[in-house]
Amino acid sequence: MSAELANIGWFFGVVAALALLFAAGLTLPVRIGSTSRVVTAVLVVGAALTVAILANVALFRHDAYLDLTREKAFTPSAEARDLVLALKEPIDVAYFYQKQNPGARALTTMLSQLERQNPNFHVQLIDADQSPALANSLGVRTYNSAVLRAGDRRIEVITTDDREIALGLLRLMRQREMVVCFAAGHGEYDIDNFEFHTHFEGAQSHHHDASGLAVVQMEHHGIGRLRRALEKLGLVARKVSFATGQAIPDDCAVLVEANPRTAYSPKESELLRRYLERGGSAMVLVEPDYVLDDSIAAVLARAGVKIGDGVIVDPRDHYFTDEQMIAVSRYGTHPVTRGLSLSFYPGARPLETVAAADVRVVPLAASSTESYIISDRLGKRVEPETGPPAARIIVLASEGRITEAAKPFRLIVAGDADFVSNSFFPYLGNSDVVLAGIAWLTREERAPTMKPPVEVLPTVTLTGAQMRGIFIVTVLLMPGLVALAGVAMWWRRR
Amino acid sequence: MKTLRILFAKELNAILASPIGYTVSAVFLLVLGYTFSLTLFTTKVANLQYIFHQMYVLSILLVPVLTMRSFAEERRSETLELLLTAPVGELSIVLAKYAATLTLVLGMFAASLVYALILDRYGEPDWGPIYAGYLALMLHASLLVAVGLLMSSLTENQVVAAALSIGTFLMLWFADSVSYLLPPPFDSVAINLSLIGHFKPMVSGSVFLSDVGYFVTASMLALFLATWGLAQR
Repeated sequence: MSAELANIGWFFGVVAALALLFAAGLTLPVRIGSTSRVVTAVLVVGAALTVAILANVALFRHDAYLDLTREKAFTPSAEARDLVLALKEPIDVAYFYQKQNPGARALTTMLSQLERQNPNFHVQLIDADQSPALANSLGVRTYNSAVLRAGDRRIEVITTDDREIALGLLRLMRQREMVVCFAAGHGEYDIDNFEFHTHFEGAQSHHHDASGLAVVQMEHHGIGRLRRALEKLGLVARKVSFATGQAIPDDCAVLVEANPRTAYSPKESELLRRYLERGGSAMVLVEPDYVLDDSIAAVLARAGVKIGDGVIVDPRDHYFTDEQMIAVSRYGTHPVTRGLSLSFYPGARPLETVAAADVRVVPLAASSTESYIISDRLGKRVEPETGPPAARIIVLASEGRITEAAKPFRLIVAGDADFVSNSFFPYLGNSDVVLAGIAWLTREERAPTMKPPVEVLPTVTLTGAQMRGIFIVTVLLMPGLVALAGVAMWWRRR
Repeated sequence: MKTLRILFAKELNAILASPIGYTVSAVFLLVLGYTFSLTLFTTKVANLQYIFHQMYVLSILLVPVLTMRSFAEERRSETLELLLTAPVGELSIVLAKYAATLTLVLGMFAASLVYALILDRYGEPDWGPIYAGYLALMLHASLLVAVGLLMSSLTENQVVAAALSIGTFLMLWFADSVSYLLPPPFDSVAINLSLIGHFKPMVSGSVFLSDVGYFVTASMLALFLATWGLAQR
């Protein structure tokens, strides 16, 4: 904000300086020294042009911007601005827009704004209909395509959304391929599965809490939507199975264990421990009915985490009418939770922190202080816990060293898994939680996750009589009155 | 200041006594009113962006008609010499003509506020882009009038003055479309010379102060050159 104010100050300073120069320039003698009138004229005109150009360069370099639209339709997202501001190498963007598309027109304005943020960000806005040859030369075949170039690297993004351009920039700037490995072999969520269903409240609905029965006919929940979102961020998603006794590959920037259904063997737990010891990053998402093997519980305990039993019930903060669908709007202070909105967890188990040397654990999301736990094992028994209501941790982040000699690891654990499944991933802040979590685990914390603003055009509904009235006033009355005034003036002066 | 006020009143009276101002205003409002009503009935969208673009184009064509006689007519009828030998500065003469012509153009633009009131009566327009649009039109008019006066000060033929003005405006309008043919940094210069490039964002509600600065500096440059040119006589 202070930079904006300073730039507004620049504007008025430059205009005042120009006014002074304007007045001073008029006091110049008609001839300068012994020069001829022509030479003097050339000199004065040249000097005036130079001053005008320099003033414009100064104003352009210290530009201030106001978006006066109600919906802030021409303001790029904060994430896009941050990314552009952080550019260290020159990036060229050629955007082939379609003039008729309002979204594309809005993006051209946003790109112009972003260009002014950083001299390393060069934007060329090209009307695709007017410059087909240029589009051909860059291999562009579709309207609203942005060609992003940095050195010999080049990617194309087809969009009318500044956030997509920001994601493209992120992909372009990433020097190496980053792989997110999804553990397989224990019945986890499938990254190739894109099935989902929507949810309706009421008696006919099905439940996702521990006591409910899923009555929707579908093979299995999947996490294809999460995979697609990661790929948009330029990350590579791959399945890995370490049940065969092979080490977790070194190129896994993050290991995601999303909803295992069968227990880990001690050998697999050992492989996970070694991975964390090597400085690996992991995200572990487990459902309330999952029975943990002691060996993996020990590995997690060494990382400062204990996964509790039972299901959290929150009478105060829940999503719609289901008290087991915990809604979280306040988060712990951590890079992952910066700017997060409401997220919800359909059927979550409590987590606890345990003391571990060289490890720092931060609770990220928790239920309200009125929440309590009910014991549950696959819906056999549902009993309220006897302890007093208290906040229960649902998601936490831990980082540190497993052993003194180990490299620093990063770990995120959630007592719920289906909040990232296809059926819940896109809603409210759920996608933001998991994408920000993965960005932190990859040690790349600037991935944009904000949704774009939606422009709504204000419309007018008119009756036939109103239309007639408007036509008479604007087409006949107004020009007619001016013409009559002209005739009257002519008559008077005749 | 008093001299400027007297000269301004004289110029404004001359404009109001001439049929040109009324003819231009009536044509301007007729075309604009027709476009406004048809666009509103067809799109049912409560904004004035189309109208602002229409006003942009119409003013490029009509302002030269208003400015062409300012100095050219005085030169042809040899009243300019009288004016210049009178105890008034060249700056006062130029500013008076500039202010009087600009007043007429802004008066024409002000008539279009009726359209904004109609939108407000029957819908809920976003007022931000409307305010920004009028700011853009005022700045645009200021530039056109200043350049028109400069061109009129260069010749005693009114038609030549109008042609020079329209030619300059058209060149400035399309300056950015040749940018891709030019090597850097001339491509940036061409883009930043573009009249529409500075006008269009403002009309849609996004105001860059550098765009405002473009119109202000270009207007000042034209007024400076017109005044200095007169002083040379």
